[in-house]
Amino acid sequence: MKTKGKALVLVSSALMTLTACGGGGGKKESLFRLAKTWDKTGIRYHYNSGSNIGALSWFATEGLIQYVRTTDEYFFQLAESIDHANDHTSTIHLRTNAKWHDGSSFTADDVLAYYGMIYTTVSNHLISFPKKIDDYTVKLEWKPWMEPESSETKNLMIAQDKVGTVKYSIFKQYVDTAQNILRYQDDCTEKFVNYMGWAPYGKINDAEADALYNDNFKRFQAVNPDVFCGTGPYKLANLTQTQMLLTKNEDYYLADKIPFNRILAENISDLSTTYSKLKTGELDYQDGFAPNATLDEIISSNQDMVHIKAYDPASVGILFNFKNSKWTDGVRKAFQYIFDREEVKNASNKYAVANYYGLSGVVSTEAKKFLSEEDFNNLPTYRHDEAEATRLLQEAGWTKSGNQWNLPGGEKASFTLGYDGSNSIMSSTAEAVQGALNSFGIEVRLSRASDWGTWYQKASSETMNYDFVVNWTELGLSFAHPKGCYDFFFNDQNGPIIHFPRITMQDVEAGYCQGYEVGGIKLDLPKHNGEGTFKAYEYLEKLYCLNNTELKEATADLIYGVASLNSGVALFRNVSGGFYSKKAIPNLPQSEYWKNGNRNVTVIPEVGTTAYFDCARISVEFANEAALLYGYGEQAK
Amino acid sequence: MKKFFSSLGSFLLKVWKTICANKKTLVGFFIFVFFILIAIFGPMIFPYDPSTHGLNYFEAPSWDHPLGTDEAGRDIFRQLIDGTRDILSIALLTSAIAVTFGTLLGVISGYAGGWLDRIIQIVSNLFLSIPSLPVLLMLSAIFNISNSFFFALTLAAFSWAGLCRAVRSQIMSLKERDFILICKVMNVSKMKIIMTELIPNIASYILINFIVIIRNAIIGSVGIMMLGLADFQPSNWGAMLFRAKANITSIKALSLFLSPAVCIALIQTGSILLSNGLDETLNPKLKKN
Amino acid sequence: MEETTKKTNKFTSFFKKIGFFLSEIFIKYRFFFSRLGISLVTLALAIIFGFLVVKLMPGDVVQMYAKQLADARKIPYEEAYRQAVQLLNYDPSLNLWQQLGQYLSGIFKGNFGVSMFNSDVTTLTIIRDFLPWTLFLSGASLLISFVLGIALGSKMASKRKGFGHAAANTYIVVSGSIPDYLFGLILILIFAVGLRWFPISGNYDILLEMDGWPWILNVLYHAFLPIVAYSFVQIGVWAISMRGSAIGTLGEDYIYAARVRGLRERTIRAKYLRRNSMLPLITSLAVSFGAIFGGSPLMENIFNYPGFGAEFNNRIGLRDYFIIQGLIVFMSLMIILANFVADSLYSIIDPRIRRGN
Repeated sequence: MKTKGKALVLVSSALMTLTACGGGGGKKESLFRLAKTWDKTGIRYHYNSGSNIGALSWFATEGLIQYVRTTDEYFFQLAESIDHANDHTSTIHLRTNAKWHDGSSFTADDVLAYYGMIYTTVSNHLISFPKKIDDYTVKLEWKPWMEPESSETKNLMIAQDKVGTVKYSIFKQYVDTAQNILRYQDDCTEKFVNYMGWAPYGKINDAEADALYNDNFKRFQAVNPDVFCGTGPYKLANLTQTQMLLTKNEDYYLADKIPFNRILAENISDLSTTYSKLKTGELDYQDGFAPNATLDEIISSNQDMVHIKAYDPASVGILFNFKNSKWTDGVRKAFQYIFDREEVKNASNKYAVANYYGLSGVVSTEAKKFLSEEDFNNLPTYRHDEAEATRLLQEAGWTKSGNQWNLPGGEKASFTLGYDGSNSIMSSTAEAVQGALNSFGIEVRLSRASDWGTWYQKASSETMNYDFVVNWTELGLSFAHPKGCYDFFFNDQNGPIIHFPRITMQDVEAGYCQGYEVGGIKLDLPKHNGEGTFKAYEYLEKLYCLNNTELKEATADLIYGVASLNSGVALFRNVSGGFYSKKAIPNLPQSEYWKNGNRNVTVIPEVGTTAYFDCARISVEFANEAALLYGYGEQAK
Repeated sequence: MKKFFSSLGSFLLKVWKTICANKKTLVGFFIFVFFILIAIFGPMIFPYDPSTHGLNYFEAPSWDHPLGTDEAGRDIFRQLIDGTRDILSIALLTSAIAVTFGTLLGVISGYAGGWLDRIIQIVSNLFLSIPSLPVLLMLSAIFNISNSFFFALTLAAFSWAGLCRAVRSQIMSLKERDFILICKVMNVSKMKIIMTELIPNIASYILINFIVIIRNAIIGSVGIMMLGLADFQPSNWGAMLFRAKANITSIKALSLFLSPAVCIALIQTGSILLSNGLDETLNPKLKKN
Repeated sequence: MEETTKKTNKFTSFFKKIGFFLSEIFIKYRFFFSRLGISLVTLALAIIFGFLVVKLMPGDVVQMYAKQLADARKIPYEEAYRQAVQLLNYDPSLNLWQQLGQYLSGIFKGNFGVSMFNSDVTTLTIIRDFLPWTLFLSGASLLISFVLGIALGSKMASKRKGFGHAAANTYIVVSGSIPDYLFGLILILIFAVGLRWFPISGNYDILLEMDGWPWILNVLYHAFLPIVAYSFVQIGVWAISMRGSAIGTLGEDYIYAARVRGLRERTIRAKYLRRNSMLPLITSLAVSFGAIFGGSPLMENIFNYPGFGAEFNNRIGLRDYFIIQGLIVFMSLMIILANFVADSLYSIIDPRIRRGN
């Protein structure tokens, strides 16, 4: 037994010394480590393959323009410049020195290949397929009745797509097939005048063409090139199930702006493992927050870690499921007064800002940009007033026995609150909401979904799984424009969750609308100046095309209209942030705060200041490669 | 019927005597009684306030909060007390369902024989062959487990098969013994034979298995909750561990992690002691030595 | 006339002989065949069970995929739904029986299921990529805990008193009270996050770019904590069963006779005790080995190990129906196989059972 024990000790110490020598210290080469998941069962070497390619989508692929999602600051990448002319055309001038990772040049053929294969953000607004002028010039032509009003908007729309991901020479046969399918469809100019429905590149697809297109698309997805198909500042060097190594692309057109030689991405499924790695210094960057105590621990244990915050144009709160008839107008209004919004915010993200405006579909900081001063100051606001809530509930017919509220019929007031358990903000908000309502006397049962897909499924289904949910109440998933916010609110997420009425064929027959709007939102909301009502879907269609004054009027109508519905309670405005290692990343902003030892920077720059843009630009999550090229390093301003 | 109750009564007296006979059993028994009392009377003495106090996260233990606060400022001590009910009820329910079902089918299968026996054998074989944890994961995705009863039902589905088989083999060997044959000759009804002669003989075995299944049910239910697949009130021990796991980077989460962990370990220790002790007392083979 | 009767006689007698031979085999090994039959029936039921359970899962994958498409391509939801049906390798319009038929015929062809999202990913590729790591971890722990547990158990059976016995008893109670995943968390907290002696996650470190012996050592380094966590609890379990079995063996007459003959305690332990008490445990070992194929998603989640159970959990989240069905069939197959082997082993090893049959 004794000899066995000795042998064991010898072997294990040999193990530890050998591996510790190999890892840990090593050379002093600039390396950037972060966590991002990708498909463990294997990825295909192009962006549109349908598999999750992880960090490659951030650093190895790029578009014509890259924008910062929280501030809408943008940079010209593969496009050197874009001219927007008055004749409904835009001309894209490509960089002549941009190259694919295999060495060949990036040309206009590749741009057309992308637009040909993928339906993009702008494709519905273009009257015809993009035209190739020469090897480095592409021309877009807009539908006059759907053309976005400002050049800013046009640039930002073009920035939504990663155009540098379909190499014509590799995918030639699929691109050509797709273009052939498109060629024989109906023009929306001939058959339908001023058609505002889905008509990519001015063509209205029929079901048969769709089937052919999708079949072709599946085969396009299945292609697996030898070298990763991208043009970005980093190339793929090595890949296992848990780690991905990227190296600097020496042929990049802005190679001198690339701050790191190598990037290591770790595929971590559990968030607490990520936090542990941040604490031990094995990761250099992580977007977002950590639970309060964990954040404190990371900052105090790891002397190199800084946490910088920036405003996030999104708010979190609860949304009512209109399918439950118990949520009458009076009850919904009463709920606006029940919550101590400060406390709910503290329980979720103590750096966030409690919100007292009504749920209008646009975050108050964004609303300020799009409303006139008078309109903004007249927005409805609420406060924590339990007496007022009690009064409103009693007006609605509720009664209270002891500490328990009862519905008009006499039964106990008890509701199911659904939330996405994989998101820590939603989890803590749900628990805080439950705590607040339980102490007020309304019973709340939590129903946790293990991932977003399951939760959304249950929340949006016709069977009433949840009585109300916790979610982003207001969010702009693309750039800041009311159209994006209201697309999200009405159509993408919250509309289906709240179960707003939808336009059906009967409405078309009754003359409510033309025909292509079936499935759209059916809401008649009061105008903000009190002169009648408007149809929500009509406004939504045209939002991009309005000029500044018209946009302000329309936005005001929408904001007031939606706020009057009280379809939920917007509890707090979110603040985003990130963990940054000041050892690995040179020239981090807000240095006047963290150099003094307050590495958890709690000062949040005001909207519009230089610091506001600096703090947003460094987030890889929101700025992708632009964070490295323009946010880190010597050239950071 | 009278004979059944009187034999049950004398059996219970025997049980109490055996519990007192062995030190291990006594300790284990008292641990269980302790937790059951907490589950019943605890919330009345120390009521639980679910509201959050976000800024008071992970406070150190104090007079107000004997075990400190959790990540949202709620009192850990009271959460622990409030959660005892959930955990014990799930475990006891699971065990009750599994034992009832398993014994019933085992007795039927062993005593009746023939094609009924074959069918039950195949079904129990099926449940033994299906990988329990993966299917449990899937079932949690289906049934949105927020109800103790359904959770217990799901867990019991994987615990009854082993017991059924063991009971079956015991019954089959007992069936051929003299005293059973005598009963048959005396034309005693089948029900009577089962109730008065067979079951009391395997009763100790069933009792020990009852406790073992409680142990496995606790491990299984807490495991599922730690993966975040079942929704329960935040005071549930499994939910507490889940939140502690999410905050594991911070040393301050130690109290949130250790409190339910220690309580779980205590209950498990109790069940091990109880089942081992009973096994020692009642099992003839071990008695010899 | 005589010739033909002779021929027919030879024929019939030949067939009769074959018939007798076959029936003798069937009778002699009837328990083997009956067990085989039961296993096959169980397998068939498990396959159907796998199909049905997956069908019960809520969450319409086509809807979810359509939602993703609509967001990614900025197209209306109805458009996206039409395209989703075409893009997924899944036709929701087939009814239950047609789907069952498709499923069963696929299994017979060896196609255990293709991912709906990615035609390259099949059940077999997932097994090939993830199972080895799970087998490595769980297999090594099983082996280590079996060997150590047997040693501990047989020692405890012979020496019923003393400090060693009390310590071993305490160890068994403590290791049985802490679920293995909690123990794993404690280990990470102390040794990986606190003392930083071991890595927090993963199976090996890509940055070091090694292969051959250094790679193997690195893998072992990353696997150390998980294996300790697994083994800690299992050693106690094996020790208890071994002790119970050994105590039973010790009471047998031949041990008494050996002592009377004057053999040393050590020889008795080595020659008679260990081998004879291990018999029932061998079958448990086979069953436990089969259980490994069920994966342990909890431990793999805690240690971020790319294992079989974690991937299965992932597929459930994605609602990848066919892969989930295929994996369940595979796991049941392995467990049934292991149980069958265990059953057969038992009767082969223990001649008393054979004779009794």
